[in-house]
Amino acid sequence: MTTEHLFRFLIQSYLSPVLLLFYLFCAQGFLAPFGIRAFASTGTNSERLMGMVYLLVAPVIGFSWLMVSCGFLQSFDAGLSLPAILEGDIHWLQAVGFLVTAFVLRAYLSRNGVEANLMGFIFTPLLLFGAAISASLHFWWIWSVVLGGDSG
Amino acid sequence: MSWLILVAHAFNPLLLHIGMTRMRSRREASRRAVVAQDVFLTVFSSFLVYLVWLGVHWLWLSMVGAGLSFDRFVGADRGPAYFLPFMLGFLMLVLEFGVRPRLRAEQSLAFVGSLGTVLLVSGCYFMFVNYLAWIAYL
Repeated sequence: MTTEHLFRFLIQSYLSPVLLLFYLFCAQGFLAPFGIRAFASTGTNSERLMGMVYLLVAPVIGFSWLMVSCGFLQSFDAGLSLPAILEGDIHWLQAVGFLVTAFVLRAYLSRNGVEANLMGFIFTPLLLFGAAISASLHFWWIWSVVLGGDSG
Repeated sequence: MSWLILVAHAFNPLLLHIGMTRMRSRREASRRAVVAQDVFLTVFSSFLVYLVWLGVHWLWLSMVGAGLSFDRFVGADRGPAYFLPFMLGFLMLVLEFGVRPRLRAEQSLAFVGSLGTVLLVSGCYFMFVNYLAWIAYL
């Protein structure tokens, strides 16, 4: 694993809209039993993401997802390996997803956090849009590369 | 093997999740707890929806003139990974009907809820990849 692989892995862990959505919906449930708070309340109806927790947990989620996905796709005899998956080209649409995630993270990590309505009506739909793009590209990659669907 | 695949589809995570959500609201509304009946209804309705889904594909493929045997259509030879989403679906059932009713603490309920979401999302992902593989194989 080279530095470039690590860099690509970190970008995909921190800026993937799917993983951020997953973090927003599930992290609290998994971290609370260990006494760790994923969010901090900053007002009556607003909250902020705990930056250090996200910094530490996001790569763990990213790596778990990579292992699960790669492990499952091994059953299709496409000869996949982790470095090969990480080396894949980043489509410009995927870069749009990364930008959307960065935009949401910037607001969520700010001192005042995000108000719940703003999160629900602006940021979550944006993240869902980014996640839909990422998921479509991922399944297209599975169809064409793993299943060989485009070669007949 | 084909029959095993057919029956295993009763544990489709997405359909089970929809069924379990319906059962939960029904249970809360009527305050009764017939777990076996709820489990049976959830799994059976999921199986029926799968049969309809299969029927629609069968019809579509018949119309385009693909002659398919039952074994080829359902899939005769599958590896253990194919059954992973169904195992996750089974785990979701255990969590919903076996573990969740026994929990009271808010933290434990939140943990089980998050675990259920992980099982659902990964189960749906595996199911969809299996579906793409099935379409490519047909």
